Amino acid sequence: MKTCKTKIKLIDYHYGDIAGHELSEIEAHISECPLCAEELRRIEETTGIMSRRSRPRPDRALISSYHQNLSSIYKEDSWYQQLLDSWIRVPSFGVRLAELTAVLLLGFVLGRFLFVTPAQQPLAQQSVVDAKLLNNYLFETELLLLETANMDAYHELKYIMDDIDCQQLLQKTMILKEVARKDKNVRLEHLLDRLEIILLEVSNIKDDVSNEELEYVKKSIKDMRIFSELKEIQLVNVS
Amino acid sequence: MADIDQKLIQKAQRGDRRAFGKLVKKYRNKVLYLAYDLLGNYDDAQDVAQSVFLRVFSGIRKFKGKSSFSTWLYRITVNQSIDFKRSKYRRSSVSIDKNIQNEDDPMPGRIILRDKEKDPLERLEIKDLKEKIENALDTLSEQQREAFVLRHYHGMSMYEISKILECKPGTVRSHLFRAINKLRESLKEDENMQN
Repeated sequence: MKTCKTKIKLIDYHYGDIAGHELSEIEAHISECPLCAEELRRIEETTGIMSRRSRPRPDRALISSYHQNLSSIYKEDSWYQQLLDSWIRVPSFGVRLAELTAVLLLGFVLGRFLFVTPAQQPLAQQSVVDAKLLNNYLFETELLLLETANMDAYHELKYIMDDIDCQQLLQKTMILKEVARKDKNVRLEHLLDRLEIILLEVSNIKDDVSNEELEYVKKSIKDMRIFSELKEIQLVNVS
Repeated sequence: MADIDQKLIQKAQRGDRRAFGKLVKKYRNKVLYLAYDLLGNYDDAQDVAQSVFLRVFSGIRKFKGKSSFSTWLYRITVNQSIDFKRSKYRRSSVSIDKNIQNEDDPMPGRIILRDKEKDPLERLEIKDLKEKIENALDTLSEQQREAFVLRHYHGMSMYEISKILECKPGTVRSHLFRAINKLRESLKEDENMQN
């Protein structure tokens, strides 16, 4: 019985699984080889008849029971669960808007409870100035003013002025005042105003200061009653 | 398509039954029709398709994605169909044997093939082309039928079929070639018988 080794490839050729160079080669071979041409004709004839097979449509009752049985495998949720699920997973625009409003409202209410209003805030928290820096400034100012208020002679003041530069304190006062103004921290601004006046007087004390002038500065400090306020602010900042 | 399957499989592997349900809905008809093409009737095909999805449901966590989901699903369908066919063949042989024994058959224990039950005269009465085709398909061996059905009626490539049947593409080609030859002979024989 005559046979050709290309015969097996006719299946691939018939089903269109051959392309490119191999396709032109096999086409050329079929045109030359009567065995393969005959085999291809038979394949086409047979598969042509087999293609006329029409799969009957399954019975409706069978399909229905089949689908029902399959759904019992993965236990489809009931309609209300599906509806609830669709609301949660794929919410409509209205639901999303309601969600957004609820989140904003919640944020507002939480904000009201968690964060105190500016009037109730301690000075250092209200100010953008670092609490530690402000405390250092207040401490140095307090020390200088205490020394000034309690000194008997100028040389005693000069001793403390070696450690604390009164001019520097004045500069710091002006900077802090600017910040307090921008921050609308009225209380701190008012305190710094008073401190600036007294620090100017202290910085103006010279070697040749008279006892009368010295007594005047000491009296001014005492009259201002500023120490309790300085202490209070420092304590608030520490806490 | 494969991406959607991938996402659904990942969800199903995490226990999402809705995702598994979507996979079932997508493939349930394809599995039913493949089982029908392999078994020849819808009652058996339905039983097989259900067992396929039960098997997929219990084994989805083990699916590693080395082949596509459809290839894996069709492989299970083919295997389940073979198992069903064999177990049904055993059952029917036993029941026929019992009947024969009840009727005092002189040859108890004989194996009776379905095709051979048909009388030649009865076969001659089959004129309908559809029946001729179904008969021709019935003459194919399991592997020949699987290869032919998957290639001819489900449009799968040689490579896909080789993955489903777990053999080389060359073997699939060989099964297919033999299947077509056998079908031609069967159809020709049927034609001659009718004439």
